[in-house]
Amino acid sequence: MAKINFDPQSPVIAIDITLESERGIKRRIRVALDTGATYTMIPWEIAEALGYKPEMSKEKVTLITASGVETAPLIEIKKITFLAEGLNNVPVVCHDLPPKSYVTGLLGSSFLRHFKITIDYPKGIFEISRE
Amino acid sequence: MNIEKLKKRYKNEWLLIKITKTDKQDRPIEGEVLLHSKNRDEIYEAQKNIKDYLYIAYSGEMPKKGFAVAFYG
Repeated sequence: MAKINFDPQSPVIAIDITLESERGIKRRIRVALDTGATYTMIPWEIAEALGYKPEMSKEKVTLITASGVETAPLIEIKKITFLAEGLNNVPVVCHDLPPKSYVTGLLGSSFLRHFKITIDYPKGIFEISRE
Repeated sequence: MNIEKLKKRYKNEWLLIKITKTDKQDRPIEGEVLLHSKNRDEIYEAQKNIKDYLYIAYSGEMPKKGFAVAFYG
């Protein structure tokens, strides 16, 4: 089991994850923990830097945003690591969050559903483990 | 330089850091700032053709008062 402390008063729980591609290229980015999001989300430019080609993806997802309905490519990241927990072949949506969100992406259910997670808001503790 | 010190030095900016030392869990301990900017998109653009292990993050705190977040995905 691994855990982090977070500020319960913060508008989001921001955490760092590491993305790794088949080419061995790695990016560590700050994302928002979002148990309500279906997919993990990363910026288009980060996906490209890892060696993926989002524009070539045949799989798309529809996002309903404040500015309307958008379509975004779905790719599969070779490995995502959060604390000591890594997961291979994770479906990820390529889409840029607004700059004022102060995070680079979202860690959503396409990663989290593979783990047991516990969020203790009063104490500001987030725990993750494989069952 | 220590990553936390770099965040304090360039507070309230987006950072592009080349990671030079990690712990056993591959978490960055030390790094070198390649670029710092108030403009996030500059950071995204600059990291595109770099093969090194990079850390990209905003170094400031998120505003708490009058700030709410609703994500989607």
